[in-house]
Amino acid sequence: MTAVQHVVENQIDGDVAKAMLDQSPQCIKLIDPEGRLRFMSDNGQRLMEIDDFSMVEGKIWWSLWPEESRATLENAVAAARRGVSVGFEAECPTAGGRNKHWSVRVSPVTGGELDGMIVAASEDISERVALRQARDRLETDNRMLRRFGRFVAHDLRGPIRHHRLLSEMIVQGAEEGAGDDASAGFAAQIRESASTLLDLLSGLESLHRIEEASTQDRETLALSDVIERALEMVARPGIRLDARCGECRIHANRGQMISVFSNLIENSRKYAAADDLCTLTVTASTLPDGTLEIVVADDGPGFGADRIEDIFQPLVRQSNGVGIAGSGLGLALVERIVSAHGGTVEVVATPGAGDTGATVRIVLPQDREV
Amino acid sequence: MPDKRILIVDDCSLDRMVLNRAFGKIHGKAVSLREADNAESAIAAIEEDVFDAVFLDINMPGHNGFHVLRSARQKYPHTPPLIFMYSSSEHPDDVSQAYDEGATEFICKPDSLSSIDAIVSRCSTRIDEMKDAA
Repeated sequence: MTAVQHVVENQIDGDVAKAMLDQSPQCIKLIDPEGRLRFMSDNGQRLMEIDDFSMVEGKIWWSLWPEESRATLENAVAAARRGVSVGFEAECPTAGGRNKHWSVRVSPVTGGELDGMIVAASEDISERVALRQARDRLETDNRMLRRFGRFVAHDLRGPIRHHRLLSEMIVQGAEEGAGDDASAGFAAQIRESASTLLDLLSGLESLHRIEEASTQDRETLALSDVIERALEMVARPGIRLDARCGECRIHANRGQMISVFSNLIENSRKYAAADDLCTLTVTASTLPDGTLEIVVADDGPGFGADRIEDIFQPLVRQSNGVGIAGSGLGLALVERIVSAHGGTVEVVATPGAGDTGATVRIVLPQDREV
Repeated sequence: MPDKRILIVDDCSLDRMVLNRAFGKIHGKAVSLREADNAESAIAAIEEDVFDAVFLDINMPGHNGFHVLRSARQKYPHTPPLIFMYSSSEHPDDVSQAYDEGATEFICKPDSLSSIDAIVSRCSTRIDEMKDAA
C-alpha cells in the first residue's frame, strides 16, 4: 500500500500526516472558513521564522500580510470556500523581518473531519524571483545597449561624417578656385549640424544627471509660472497654449520642471501639421489623495497604441508616419524627471493616427518635500 | 538620352547632394539623377520612371528603405533596378535583411569624398555590366 493510498483509505492519521508534512519544503497552513490560521507545518514555521506558533494562531491569515496583498489573500480564501483552488505570487516578510516572495496555492478541503477547512501551501520563491528580476534587468540593459549602439552609429556618427564631407568640399572648392558662396553654404551646414549634435549630447548628459540634480535645489513653484517659462524656452511660432493651473504649486527642481513642460510643448509643435497652429491645454487639479494631476493635451495626431509601450525609453524614436523623427530623448527626460520627483507620467493611447490629439497625464506630489 | 538613370532616396539633403555631386563630376550629362526625401516619394518616382540604379537610405521617418526595396522588386520582378542600400550604420540585422530582400549591395555611408567617388564608379561599372548582359 502506498502512502497516498494509506491516507485516502484511512483519512490522515496524525503520524502519517506529520511525516508527510515534514517532507514538504513548503509552508503548509490550515485555515478555517473565517480565514483564521489554525495550523502551520514545522517547516513552514522555520521558513516564516516563527518561534512560537501560538503568537499567530487564530489570527486572520491575510492580516499577517502586507496591506497591498491582503485583498488577494481574502479573495483566495473566498474562492476556496466556494470549492475553487487558486494560486498567486506575493511578497511577505518573515517574522524576522526578511522580505520573501511566495508562490501560494489555496485549496478547499473536502470530506472527512476537516471538511470546509482551507489548505494554503506557500513556496519560498525569493531566489527564483531575484534571478528573474536580474534577468529582466539584464535584458533591459541589453536593449538599451543595442539602442545606444544604433544611436551612436546613426545620430552621432552621422553629423560627424557630415562635418568631414563638408570640410572636404570646402577644401576642394578652395583648391579648385571655386567661389566663396558655396564654401559659406557648406560652413553654415557644418554649424547647423554641430548644433544638432550638441543638442543630442546635452540631452544624453541631462538624462544621466537627473537623479543627482533633482534632489538638490528644490523649491516651491507656481505651476503656471513653470509652464509660462517652458513656453518661452520653446520660442517657436504657431503654438497656442491654454493653461488652467489656478494656484497649484509643486515642490520641485525649477530647471527640470521647465524642461518637462518645454519637452511636451516642443513635442506637440513638432508633430502638428507643418502649417497648422498647435493648440495645447494644460489642466491641473488636485486628486482625492492630495496629489496634483496635470493633463497636457494637444490637437495633433496623438499616440497610436502601437507606439505606447516603449515611449518613455531613451533613444526610442517616435515617428508619426508622416515624416517626423525625434532624437528619442525628450519623453525619456520627461519620465525620468517626473519619477525623480516621486511622480508618474503616462501617455493616453488613441485608437489610431488621426485628429484625436495627444494626451500626457502627470501626477506629482503637491508642494511638499518628497 | 542619358546613359545612366539614378534615383537617390535619402531624408538627409546633404547625403543626397554629395552623391548627386559625385555622379555629376564623374559622368557629367551622361547621367540622369532624381531625388526623393522619403519612401512615399521614392515609390512614386519608381512608378513614374525607369531607373538603372537606386541608392536607398534605410532609416527615414515614416516608411523605411526596406519598404521601398519591396515596392521596387514587386514593380519590376524580372528586371529590377540595381538597389544599393545606403545606410549610416552597418547593423547586422539591416545587412542581413537587405540581402534577404534582394538588394544588390549594402553600403555603409562613407565619410570621405574619395570613398563616395569610388562607390559611384563601382555603381557605374555594375550598371554597364547589367546593360551588357541584357
